[in-house]
Amino acid sequence: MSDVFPYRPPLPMGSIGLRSSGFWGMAFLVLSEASLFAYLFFSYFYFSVQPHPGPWPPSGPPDLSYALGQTATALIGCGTMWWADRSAAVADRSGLLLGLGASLALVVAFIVLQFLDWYAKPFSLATDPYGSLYFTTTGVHLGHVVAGLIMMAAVLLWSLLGYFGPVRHAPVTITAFYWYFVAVIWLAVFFTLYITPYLA
Amino acid sequence: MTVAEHERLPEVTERNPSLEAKLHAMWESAPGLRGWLSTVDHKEIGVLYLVTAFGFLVAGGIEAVFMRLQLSGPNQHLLTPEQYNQLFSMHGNTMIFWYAFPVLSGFSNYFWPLLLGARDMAFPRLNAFSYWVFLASGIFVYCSFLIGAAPNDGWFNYPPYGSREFNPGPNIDFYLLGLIFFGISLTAGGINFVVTTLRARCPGMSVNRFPIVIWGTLSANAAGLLAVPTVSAACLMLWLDRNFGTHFFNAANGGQPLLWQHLFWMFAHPWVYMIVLPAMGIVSDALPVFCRRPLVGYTAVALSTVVTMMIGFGLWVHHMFATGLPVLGMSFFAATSILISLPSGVQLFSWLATIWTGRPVFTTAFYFFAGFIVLFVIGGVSGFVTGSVPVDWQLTDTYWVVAHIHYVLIGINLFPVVGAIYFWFPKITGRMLDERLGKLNFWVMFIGFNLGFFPMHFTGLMGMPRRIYTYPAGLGWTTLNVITTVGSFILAIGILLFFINVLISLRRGAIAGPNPWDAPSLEWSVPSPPPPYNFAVIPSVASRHPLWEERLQEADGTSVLDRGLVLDHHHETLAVTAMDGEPDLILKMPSESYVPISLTLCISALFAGLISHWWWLAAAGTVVGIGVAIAWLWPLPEAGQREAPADV
Amino acid sequence: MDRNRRAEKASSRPDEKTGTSAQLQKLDRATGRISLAVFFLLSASAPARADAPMAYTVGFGARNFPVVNLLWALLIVSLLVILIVTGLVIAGVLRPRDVPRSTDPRLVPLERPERGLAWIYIGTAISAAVLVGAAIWTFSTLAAVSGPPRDAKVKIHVIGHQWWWEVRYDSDDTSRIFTTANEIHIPAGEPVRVELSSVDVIHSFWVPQLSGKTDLIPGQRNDTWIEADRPGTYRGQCGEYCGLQHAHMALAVISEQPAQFQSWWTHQLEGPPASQTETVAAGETNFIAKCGICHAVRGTTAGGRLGPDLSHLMTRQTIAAGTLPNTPGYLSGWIADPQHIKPGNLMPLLDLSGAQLAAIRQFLENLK
Repeated sequence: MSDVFPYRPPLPMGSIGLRSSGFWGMAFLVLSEASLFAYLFFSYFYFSVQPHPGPWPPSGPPDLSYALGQTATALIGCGTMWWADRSAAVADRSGLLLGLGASLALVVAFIVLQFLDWYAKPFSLATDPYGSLYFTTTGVHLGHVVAGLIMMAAVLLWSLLGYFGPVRHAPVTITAFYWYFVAVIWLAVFFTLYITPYLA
Repeated sequence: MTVAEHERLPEVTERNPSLEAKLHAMWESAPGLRGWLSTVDHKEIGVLYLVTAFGFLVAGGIEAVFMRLQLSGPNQHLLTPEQYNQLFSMHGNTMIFWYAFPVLSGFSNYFWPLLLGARDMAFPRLNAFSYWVFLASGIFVYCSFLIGAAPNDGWFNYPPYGSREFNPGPNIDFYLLGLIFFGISLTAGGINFVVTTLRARCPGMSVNRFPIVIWGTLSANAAGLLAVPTVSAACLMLWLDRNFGTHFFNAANGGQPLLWQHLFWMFAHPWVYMIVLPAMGIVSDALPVFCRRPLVGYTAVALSTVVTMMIGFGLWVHHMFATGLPVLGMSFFAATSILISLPSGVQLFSWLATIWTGRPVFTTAFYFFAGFIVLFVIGGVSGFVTGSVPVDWQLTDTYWVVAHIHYVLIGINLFPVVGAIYFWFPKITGRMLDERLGKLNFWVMFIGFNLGFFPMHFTGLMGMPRRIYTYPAGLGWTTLNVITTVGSFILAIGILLFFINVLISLRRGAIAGPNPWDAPSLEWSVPSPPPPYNFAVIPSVASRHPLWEERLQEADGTSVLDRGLVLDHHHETLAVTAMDGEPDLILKMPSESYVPISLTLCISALFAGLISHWWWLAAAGTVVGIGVAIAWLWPLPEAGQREAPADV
Repeated sequence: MDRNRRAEKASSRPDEKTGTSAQLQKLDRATGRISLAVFFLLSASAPARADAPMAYTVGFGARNFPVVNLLWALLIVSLLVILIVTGLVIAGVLRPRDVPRSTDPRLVPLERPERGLAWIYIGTAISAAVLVGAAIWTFSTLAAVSGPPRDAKVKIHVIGHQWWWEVRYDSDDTSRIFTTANEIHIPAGEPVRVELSSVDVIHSFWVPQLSGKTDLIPGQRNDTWIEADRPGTYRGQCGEYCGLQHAHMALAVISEQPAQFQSWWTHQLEGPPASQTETVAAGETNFIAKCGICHAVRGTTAGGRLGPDLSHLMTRQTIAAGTLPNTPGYLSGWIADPQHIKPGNLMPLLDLSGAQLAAIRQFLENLK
């Protein structure tokens, strides 16, 4: 090509949606964190296929009640975050704020349910390998949930301050994407820890 | 035409002095210590990485000197067993983690934007952060020496010896927390390199025009994103075992010691490719300069770099051949271990062909790269021999493996690194390294290294196990150990000569122009040292060798280096589409900031609290750190991260 | 004779060339180093020398013969590859070009010759063929040595401790089961099954001239086998880093004619000879009081399992897991101060008077 400047159209500037560096950075961070969970699941399955003196899990398949609630809050939270992102894109400020607020409430609910589930367990971190695996896996996931909570709170604050408009609202998009990741990982945790004992 | 509020029609102009002055004022760092602590300039961060990594090299080398003195004769008492065990463990940790990868990050940091035609990396503050965390994690682990409790279970840290029951002190906790700490730097750096490669390039820089070092570093960092989490998970698990009574690895309660080995080697085997592929990439780019011809088989070399890294994920069990795993499983990993020689071989043949069909130029850098090829082969074949399971049952955990790892680490990492310094020192400092001293440097290093480490193959074949602090006389090991000790001292002198050359040449080296080697890539089109903004105008490339294409007459178009996008409204560079390198976005970058080092201090407080069980300190570090992180991510109008920007 | 001449010839090659350029020095060094390598390798191929008991370039027994052959083949291939590639590098660098040699790239013209890719094709093809051959040989060797050629009649159980080896001889006849430590006797010409486990950390069972390593992992039972085709003493050493005294965790495997082996076994089952002197009797009392918590001696009331079983200690060639010769002097020194020779090992410093030490030593010397 003889003309090396084919960019007749103007170029967008700064952090815009999926073209922002922040989004790309989050995408690769998510990839790395997802592999962390893959290794935790590997460890869980490594233990589950070893010979055991008793049943696996030792206290029987885990109770699903809280976990189902957590699954619901995680998935609905995906919906509310999607709605917040969409509202930002069409300059619907109230939709954005309500979506973020609802997501925040759902995340808090998730965390409360997780703690209730932990409290109700008949075993602890130090009882046996299963207990160690269970609490470590759900604990690492909970850490990621708390990080999501902090992100949503910050984004809500920035939205209240009026920082975002229809073009520039990358933090909302990025936080929504992060929450989708957390929810998908929760589904994997749910399947591995809560469902597979029933299938065995 | 109508331009939307968030868009701009960027100006195109010729390079000119007033533009250069304006950009210089905009991009230069603050002077003095303030500048170093708050810099986000990839070149300064690159220099910080290089100097710090070489500092760790010296630390690891001192540890090795003591080890070699202790082993220079049978039944010596220079060191107690505990001292020796701490020294050999820290020697391994220091060299493999705190030297080998950061030194390559140093080159990558300094040169990537220059090679890719950009003004900076995609995430300048994250770049600074990954350096400060690297430094802090190294200091953290070295603090263990201050209390005489350095890690003492090798760089691989197997439980049960690494569990609290057999290792009651804080030694292993330093290792576990230190690696998790270091892993933060690796993940941050990995994200930065990958996104920068995919986005921050100049027009025309399509993927098939990347220098090979980009392929090598990209493969390494992408792999790191997938591999580092497993060692972080393993370290977390063992730390919990040691401090909170969990039962991941203690056999008495149903724990699985072998799980550590799986998790660790699933990280550590890809890791060893991560610490050589960028260096091999440097050779693939620099050797052709001194053979006066482009690299033979660019596409094959680029692909085999990526393939080597990918296959590298499927080899880890070859570190566990003696653990009693089923034969069928081990056979698969033996096959992959043998298979990986093929893509490595492709690169070897490419280098041989480049030399053979080129016209060698006898500079010090060329000596290092040519010598590297011989060391590469020796390291490669000694690895190939261990890939054979029944043979490995003899070789593993003997000095044969020590010979292998040093040929691949010193041969495939240190020698290209030193050669790369000879190659790029003129660009970084504006002065040439002394060539006569350089040639002496090379020969002393080459002879010392081979004298020290080639006999280790025989020491291994004679049955000397690894990781022993002493040995009896009469087993045939003594003479070989003496030769190795002498050789290692000569190698140390060689490295000292290298440092002397650097220090002398910084003051009195011949002034280098922009392109003293008549090399083809973009970094040689800017002054030496480069201005803080790298390129006054964003260049456009039409081939792999912009500065050679006129003479080689093989490009479809012409690279244009003197005229291009100005992007001078703020700290700006261009983002392009991933595959073809077409302009996509104007990236707005932050300028200097104390946030990265502040966050590092918070994280250091967290880890200090964790190792000492001062939970309040850990909590404080976490909470303040979250605040700093939010401040970091606070949307900046000048970076186009929120509405109503101050200036378009 | 032959190998010395070959080494001489190799190192004399540079003398034939003239010139003193650095490039020729490179050739000289490379050749010198390679000939040294050849010399060492070839000299290591002599039958087991007393001064190289841990070298596994020689092997004895069905488990090792195929591996030694494969090892040598891979070593030779490796050496050839190194020689060929080094030769190509040196020749490629030194061969004459159409322009004079220079140290300044700006003085040497650029060019892109068309040839070059053939190197990659040919090199990769040859490498692939060699690698496939090596892989096939590897798998067939692996199959040959994974399990014993016929059922093993002798089964022993080796249990790893920091830093010694507990060895239990199994039998269907429970009266013939016994425990010893650090020295293993096997019948020559027969495979012996070895079960491996550990009570503390990971160790590795390794007798280089009989077999490769297999790890002893707590919580896991590994199985291996060894066989010696002729009588002899074979040294072994722990092959996995296990802590402070990993360096001093050796063992010995002594293979004997089957009849001798059986009589050794029968003798091991017996108790010590009835104490003949007062000192020995006093020594036994002291031993039980001071040492019996950790050590066992069959036929006495000392039944400790924390340390090595000391029954028939005098039939062993070494003490402290191969660290010291089994002589009165070393034995006294060891008991008086175990931490001096093997600092960090788990045998404490005992508070023994001179008389107690002498009595205990005499008791032990009676354990023939």
